[in-house]
Amino acid sequence: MSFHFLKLVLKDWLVYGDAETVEFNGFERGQNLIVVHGQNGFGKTSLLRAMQFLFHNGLSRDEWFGAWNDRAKERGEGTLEVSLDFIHNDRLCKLTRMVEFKPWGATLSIRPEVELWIDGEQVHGQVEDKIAQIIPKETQQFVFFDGAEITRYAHKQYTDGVKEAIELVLGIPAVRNLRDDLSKLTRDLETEQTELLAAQGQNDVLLAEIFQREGELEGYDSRRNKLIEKRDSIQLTLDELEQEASEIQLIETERQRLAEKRQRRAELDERLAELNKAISDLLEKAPRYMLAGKLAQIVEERTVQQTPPSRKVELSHRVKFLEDILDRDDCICGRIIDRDVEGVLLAEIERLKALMFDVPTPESGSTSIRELTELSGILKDIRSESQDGHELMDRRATIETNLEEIETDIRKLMEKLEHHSEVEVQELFQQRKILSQQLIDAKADIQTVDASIARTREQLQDLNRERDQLAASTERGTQVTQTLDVVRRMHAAIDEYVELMVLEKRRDIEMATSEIFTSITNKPLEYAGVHVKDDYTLAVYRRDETVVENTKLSAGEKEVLAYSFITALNLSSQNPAPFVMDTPFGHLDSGHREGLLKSLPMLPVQVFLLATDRDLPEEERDKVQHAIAQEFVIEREQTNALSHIVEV
Amino acid sequence: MDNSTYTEQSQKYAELLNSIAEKHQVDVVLIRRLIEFEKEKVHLERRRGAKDNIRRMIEDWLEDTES
Repeated sequence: MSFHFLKLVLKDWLVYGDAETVEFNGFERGQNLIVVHGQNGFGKTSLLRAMQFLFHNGLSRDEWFGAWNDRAKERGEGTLEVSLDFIHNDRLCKLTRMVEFKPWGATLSIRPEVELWIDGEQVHGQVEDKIAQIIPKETQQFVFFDGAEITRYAHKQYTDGVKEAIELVLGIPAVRNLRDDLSKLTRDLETEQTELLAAQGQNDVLLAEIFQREGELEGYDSRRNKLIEKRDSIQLTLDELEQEASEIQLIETERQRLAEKRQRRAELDERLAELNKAISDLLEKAPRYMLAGKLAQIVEERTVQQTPPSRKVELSHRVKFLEDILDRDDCICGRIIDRDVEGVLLAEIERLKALMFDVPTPESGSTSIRELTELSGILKDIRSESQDGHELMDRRATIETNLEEIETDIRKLMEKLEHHSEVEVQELFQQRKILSQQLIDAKADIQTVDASIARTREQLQDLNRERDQLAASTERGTQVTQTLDVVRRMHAAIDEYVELMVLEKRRDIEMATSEIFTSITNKPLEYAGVHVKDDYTLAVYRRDETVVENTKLSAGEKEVLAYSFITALNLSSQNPAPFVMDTPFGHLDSGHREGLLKSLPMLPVQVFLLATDRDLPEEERDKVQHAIAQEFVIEREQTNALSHIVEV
Repeated sequence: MDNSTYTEQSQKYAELLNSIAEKHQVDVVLIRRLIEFEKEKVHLERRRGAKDNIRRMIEDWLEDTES
């Protein structure tokens, strides 16, 4: 089935004057782009608004007057008109909406009119209904859109009516309505059956029991609805509390961090104090350290001059020993000390004494061993206590930097924590506990009611079967019963179908949106797809399954996300309408723009791009040249304040 | 990414409806007719007579089936 535009005529509409006609070449797959170039203020948005006016009107009296071209207004009377020839469901259609302005005394009478022609025949009666069937009012936002507004589809929450509009495109409301109508019809037919049986004057007991069971069921349903409302309300509050609690958890973690930071600060303060003392001591002893080198030199020199005192003492001991032997008659080995032995001993004594004389004796004024020992000791002390001053300074500087950072961290943490008192935290956790229990209780109550409902339904089913049998005893009763049987089964079937359909539709939209989004995004390695939630709001998720908060998406990313969703929605509809996109690339970088432009030729509809030169620079336009079916430019006749659309 | 998306999806929903209709022993053609009827009315604020029309369609179908 096809839906594409053929010819647009504008008469005295906004910036356009008398009979501005634009003809389109029909629709061909792969060559579906129709580009309308126009500078700011030349009339691009006037075209978008013309489409919106045509298919929905939606203007007040004052707005009609506002839409009437200024030059035409000067004439005092006339008609503004927007007309579109198009193919819809393979039928040739012409839709014209006009507003006539005529002087009426001191004021102006304003008369709107609409005409719809299908295959050469004018539609009379319920024209607006027929137009709504072509593009329902609620779904216009998905086909005619301003690039500046598109990002609202990437928000965390939708405004009223958007969810319903989305479901309308997906065809869900029709099936839901059928379910509701079948449900009402079931009740009507059961009532009819009851009336027939009552008219027969029998079966009062059965009817009374059915009435009672129906009453019970109604009561249970009502109670169930209230319990569900209560459960949802508790859940909502609990979700908010959980959100707060998780923030509190964070706060508790921050508190702990603060305590750790303070402790660390105290440790650093202590170390800093030690370092400062060490540096101060170092400075005090600096003269000693400066002399250490000279002292070492002295000690070294004096050490060279000194013989260990033990050598002279040893020699003198040996001399004494030998002299003692000379005084004896025999040696310690037992030999008699004769002249020969005496001669040897005397020679040895002489030799040893000569050695003793060779050992240099300390000169006067030179350092004694005791003094040298003292000096060595002092030098050793100096060396052991001396420290590298530069190293101390560096360490102190590092600690001071660390302290500065910690002070900043502490200050920030204290600012974060100042709004959360311990008491509040305790109260919150207490409340959460209470609500969690209430939720459990509410769910249990619902289960109990569900069991009661199931039991009562079963009882009612049995009673209904009995009633059906009894009602079928008359012709009319048989007819009603047969119809009722079909309606009940239809209702059960549609009930099941709706639930599954809604689920599947959402999954399909999710898949299509993800596919389009990942093909356009400039982060294909990071973003894996898009979740479409129960209320059709969107959430981008990464390859590691983490979800990107909508607030963290840039304006350009939101635009791409919204475009992906709208396109997916359009592709899921039975007869997708042409896209009219007014300056769609406002926030997009060249990467996104390129991705989006590449995706447009693949759509099975005409795509009207109302673009400035910034939206569609020359080099990017050339990349989609093959897909451009037609190009127009809006020219401005500034002297008359009128715009014209010219094919390029 | 083209209108085969819709075609494939339509096929899937048609099969789903077929299987559910079979399960509940209802005529799938009748269900489809009723759904199309609702689609024509869906954009209206007041769907006057919708329920009665549905009843008539079912009764007509019953008549046709019996005859």
